[in-house]
Amino acid sequence: MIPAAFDYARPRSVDEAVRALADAGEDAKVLAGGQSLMPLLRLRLAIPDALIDLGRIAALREIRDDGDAVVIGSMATHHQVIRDPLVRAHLPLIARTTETVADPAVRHRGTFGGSLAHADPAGDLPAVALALDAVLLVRSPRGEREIPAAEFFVDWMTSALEPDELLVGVRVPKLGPGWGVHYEKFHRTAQAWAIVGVACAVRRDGDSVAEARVALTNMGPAPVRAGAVEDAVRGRPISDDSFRSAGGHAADGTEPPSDLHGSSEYRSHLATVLTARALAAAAAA
Amino acid sequence: MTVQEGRAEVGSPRKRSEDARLITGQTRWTDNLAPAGTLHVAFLRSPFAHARITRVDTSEAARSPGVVAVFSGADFADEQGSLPCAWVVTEDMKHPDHPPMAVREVRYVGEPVACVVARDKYAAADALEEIDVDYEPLPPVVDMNEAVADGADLVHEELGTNKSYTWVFENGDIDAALRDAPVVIEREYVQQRLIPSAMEPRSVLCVPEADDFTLYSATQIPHILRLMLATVTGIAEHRIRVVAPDVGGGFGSKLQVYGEEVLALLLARRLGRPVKWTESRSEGNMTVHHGRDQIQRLTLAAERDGRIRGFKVDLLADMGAYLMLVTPGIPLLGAFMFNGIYKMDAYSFTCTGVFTTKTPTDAYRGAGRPEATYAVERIMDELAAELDLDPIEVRRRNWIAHEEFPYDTIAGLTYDSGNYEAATDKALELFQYDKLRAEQAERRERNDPVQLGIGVSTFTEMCGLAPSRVLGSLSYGAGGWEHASVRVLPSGKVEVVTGSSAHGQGHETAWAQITADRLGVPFEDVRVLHGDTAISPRGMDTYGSRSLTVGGVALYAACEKVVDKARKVAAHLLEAAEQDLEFSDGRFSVRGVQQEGKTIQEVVLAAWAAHDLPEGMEPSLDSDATFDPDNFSFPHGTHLCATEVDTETGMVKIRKYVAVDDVGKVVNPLIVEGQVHGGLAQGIAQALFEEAVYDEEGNLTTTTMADYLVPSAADLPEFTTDRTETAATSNPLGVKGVGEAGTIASTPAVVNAVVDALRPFGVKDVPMPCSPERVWRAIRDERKPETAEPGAGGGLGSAGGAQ
Amino acid sequence: MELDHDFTVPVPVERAWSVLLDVERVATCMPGATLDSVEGEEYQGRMKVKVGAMTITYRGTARIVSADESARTVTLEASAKEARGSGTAAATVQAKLHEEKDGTTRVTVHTKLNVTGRPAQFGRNILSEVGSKVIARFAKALAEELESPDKPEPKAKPKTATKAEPKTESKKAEPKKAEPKKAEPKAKPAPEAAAPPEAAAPPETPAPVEEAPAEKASAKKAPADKAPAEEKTPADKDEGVNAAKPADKPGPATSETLAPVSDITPPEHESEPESEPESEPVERKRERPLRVARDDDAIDLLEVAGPSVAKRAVPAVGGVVAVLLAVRFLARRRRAGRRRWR
Repeated sequence: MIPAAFDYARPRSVDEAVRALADAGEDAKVLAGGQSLMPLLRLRLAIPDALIDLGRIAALREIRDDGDAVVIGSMATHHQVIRDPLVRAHLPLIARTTETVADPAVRHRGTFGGSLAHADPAGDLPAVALALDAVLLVRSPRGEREIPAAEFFVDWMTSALEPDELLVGVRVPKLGPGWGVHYEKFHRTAQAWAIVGVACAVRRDGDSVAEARVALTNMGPAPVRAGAVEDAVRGRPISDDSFRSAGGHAADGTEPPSDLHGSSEYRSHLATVLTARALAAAAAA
Repeated sequence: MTVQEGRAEVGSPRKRSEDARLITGQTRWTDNLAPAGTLHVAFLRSPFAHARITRVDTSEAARSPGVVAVFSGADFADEQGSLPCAWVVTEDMKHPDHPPMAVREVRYVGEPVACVVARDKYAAADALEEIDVDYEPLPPVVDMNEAVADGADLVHEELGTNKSYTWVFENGDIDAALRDAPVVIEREYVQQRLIPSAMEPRSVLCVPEADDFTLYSATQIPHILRLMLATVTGIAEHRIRVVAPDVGGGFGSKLQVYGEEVLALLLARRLGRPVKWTESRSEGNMTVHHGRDQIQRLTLAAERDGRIRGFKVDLLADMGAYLMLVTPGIPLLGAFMFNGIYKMDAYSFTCTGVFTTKTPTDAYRGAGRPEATYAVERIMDELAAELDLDPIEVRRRNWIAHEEFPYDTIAGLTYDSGNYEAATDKALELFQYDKLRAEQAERRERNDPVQLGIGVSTFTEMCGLAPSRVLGSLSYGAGGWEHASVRVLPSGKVEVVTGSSAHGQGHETAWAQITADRLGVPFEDVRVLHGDTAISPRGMDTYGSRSLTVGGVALYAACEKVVDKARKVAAHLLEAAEQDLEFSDGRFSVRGVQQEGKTIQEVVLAAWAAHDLPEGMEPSLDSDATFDPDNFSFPHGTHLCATEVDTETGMVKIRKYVAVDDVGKVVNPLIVEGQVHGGLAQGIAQALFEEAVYDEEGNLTTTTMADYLVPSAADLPEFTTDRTETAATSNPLGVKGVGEAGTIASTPAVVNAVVDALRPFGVKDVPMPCSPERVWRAIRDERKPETAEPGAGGGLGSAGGAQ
Repeated sequence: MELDHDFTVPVPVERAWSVLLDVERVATCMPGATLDSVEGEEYQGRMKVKVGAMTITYRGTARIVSADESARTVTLEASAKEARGSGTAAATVQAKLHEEKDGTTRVTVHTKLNVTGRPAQFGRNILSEVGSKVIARFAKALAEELESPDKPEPKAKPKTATKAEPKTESKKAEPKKAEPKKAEPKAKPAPEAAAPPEAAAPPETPAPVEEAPAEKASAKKAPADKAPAEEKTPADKDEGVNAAKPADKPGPATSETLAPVSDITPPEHESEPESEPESEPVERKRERPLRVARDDDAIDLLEVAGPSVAKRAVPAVGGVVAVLLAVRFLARRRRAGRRRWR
């Protein structure tokens, strides 16, 4: 398949990129690794007028310490994220989850910010961003703004980014000591999208759960935070029973899709089983 | 007679000599070829499963930048002919016209409707958007059961039916066998539709030179294609040269005469320029012929002790929208295999070929035999469960004992050799069968959410598709011989020309090994030529595990002729009688006088110089030979699979896989191992992953690799493979063929293991592919989700089955 | 694929009936839809469905195939082709009015959709993800339309509330955050165009400004030229090309920029500042240039954010798409000739 023609810009700085995006108008797309966009272009499901390629903006690849948070540049590749010492030390859930993304070739090209901006509910990283209360840092000609993950993933493949807004980085609060994390991904082949995924962080307090954060992949048009699970497990003893009973709430209020790889009903069931497992694994981590 | 003489090249695990070139990109894929002035073709394809074409407007597209010409089917209606079907299985078989580009009606999504020829492929792709077609939708026909019901919507109105043919084979009194049988097991299995997924997509390039045409194609069958192109287009056969350059896999999908190939020829003729077309993956998923797609209704009658009385098989086989090269014959290749390795008194086989508005089906690795093996091996496990016998034991009680060979089967074949006991015993030992059974019992005992299942599958297959006489009796349109010639060059180097057409099998290595052994020349001194009708004028090409058992044997015979000629020359040079000469390690010597001798290189140089040749001898050792065996070959084997089934999620994980195959004598064990590994991957893929899914409107929803799940190494277990070796008696090499073996036994072995794990839940079947959701539903005794989505979710899968 | 919607509007059945017979008014309830012209009973238009990075534009026709007053049932058929691809979409929408005792009207809408081509060829069902939302939004807009048949509010600003939410499907109201956000970018490209729809602009349409997307140019042409769309389009095209971008993608700018009211509203309405084209009486719909739809011309999930409202199991997008539009291709505009990347 061959994409339709488009204009192409490869800015060298964020300012240039913001300008280029604004100039390109509404039917422009940002190329941030291209591991999701390129297939859409080739299938001509996306026919943008212009592509703004962020590949040459070194500043966007930076991962830096920001006190009680880590800021991951939007163009940091998955491969880079997995190996980054800051991420490994403070955001192991991101490192762990990113390891499950697609295959090595994709992880060398695909980017953290690109995955989030694509807002695919079957993507693994949106749920993680949600679970970790990440904040998405956005630039446009109108200035900067910060969008909490909870408000960023609006709908199926739709983020809160305006057409002239560029995702420049993601600030993710560090998880302090006492947290265990796990990403439970359920898929039929190694490279397939998750049928359901569960991103989970659990803070232990002795033999019980002090706090848990749970977010679900592919359980709706956007990633969802499983608030009912978090409430149900808070303060409960660390045991399979606790996790199973809390996991039972995983599908509450969700509207999972039905598709070739799983029916809505099956996804709802999977969410409960996988959430219990994710909680147990995170608590044991 | 076997090959062993001198150094044993045959039997040596040589690394494939073609691989260094292939994996470093020094390849000649068709798409890499770009003669000056090449134009690029893109096809507009039907978005409808079934529709009448009421208008095609190409005028706008013709004005697009870079476009040279745009044609609709109507523009070629008078010259494009009808794509061939070479296997008319019954006299009254319904055989609709199949224009390469649709003219009045489209009958599957992806059928070509128009094409653009442009100066580059980008312009061609862009111009496709400018073609405007009006369709009048007609009812899709997607479900085989509905298609054969009275009053069904028709795929081909003019045929008056969706049934192409009904083909029957019976032997023994099946009614008597079923009557009062102590045990009768009835099952319905669905062989889901598969997409062959060769690594190299289809590609064709046609270069015209005055009245001659050279057509390069990613094909398995350059020789057959040449003849068929001539037949379809009326261009004389000697004006067409077909070249299969490097070809990246086929699995049967390139055993075909495709409309795009015919059109490339016609476009080159009309435009007088080279034209090239290469498909994209998603285009290919829709339009490369598909495989499998059968509904199997089975009735097995047995005694209480497990001995089989009779087996009744009733098939619906999906032809798709048209009959392609061997479409109707594929299920019949299974007709002789449903009895497997077992003895029985009666057998009945009925197959109805059914038209649907889907991509045509045709040969896919194993072609008919995996389907048959699946049916009998699945139902043998059901019989074992019914009788509470170990599945190995039930097989033992029925299989042909090694001392009974040659054995005439109920399906009318003569199995020449085999030793099922030996292969099974070896497999059981490697598998640690008893230990795993103990673990299974223990997990059942403690209600482990992850249950262990053990699947058994034996198999045999008729392969080395050859005996021309037999193929004729099956109404197949061609013979099954193969040809080889050996050219011994003056310097002593050897060129082997084979009619087999390798597309990944490693013929260049194996054929050189055979030649090196027979002629006593170094392996490196042999070059193998193939895949070009100008270089290799005679051949029947590569499919059906036939290359070695037919083409390899032809080569063997040609080498023998070279040696015979050389012996005459050597005897003359040595002034000895021919019968006094010994030939060993590439040297003729007078018996008893080792120091007196001539190497074959010396002999060939002398023959070439022709200064002193025996009377009547031509100045060459070159020889050729054709081989046409009397019988098929029958590789067999026993495969054992252990699966861990997560009963909470339905996820299946293969814990252990042991394959013991008997493929007869082996030329190159490394190549055999590779063939088995690839075959296992493909067979396991059918069991667990792959399925071409159509929705109720006839849209293929698995057009991309994101939805059509071809497993990678990460999704497969480590395989334990081993062999037993019972020589075939039908050829002098004792070889049987290995191309399809792995694909055949693995599918039932895996599904048997999945079902075995779930027996305590009352599960008797899980439809393929055994997706996690299907397994989960089987445990819950639900066959179909309430919301019937197509696909692995359980709804309208391929074959309209799986419900 | 079939979809059912059911809602009640607080107007008598007769009033609702008159609205239902007006293809233009019904069509403009479809998000992303634009009516381009009318020829006899057949309406031509476009619909742009935009989801994340994906965009599909359809062109086609819609017409009322039956209107059974005694049964209070109207059946509308639409069929369309992708503007840039081989796929098609077809829909049959049957709306039936049921008189309720309290003087309100219950409306049942049954939609049959058939989508072919790219969007139908994936395992992850793009259609069901998007379609149900689009149809739900259509039903909601239709409810609004029925509710105020005489003096509709300006449509450019989606109403914040309606009594007639689709009953069966809607589980939650649309998140409020979405709409205001969307409004902002929408307005942006419009400055040089006519005033926003709320303020009726003078009938004289300003000549298309250079920066205006091509689509706008062509849409504006309609009022000036009463000839059937096919004839006038070629000319439009040329302008479109000069104007700027590939023309067959109506930029989001188009919708409001087009300011349907000012451009196309027939003279009778010029003096009514508040009036929207939708309010035109049914009888006038023929033989007159069409206004384009109110609202943005691309469905954007931002505007329908929140849990989907229609039955999830039913694949739909296309349908939706289909519902309104376009079958006969307007002549295609050529893309800019310069060399571009791909």
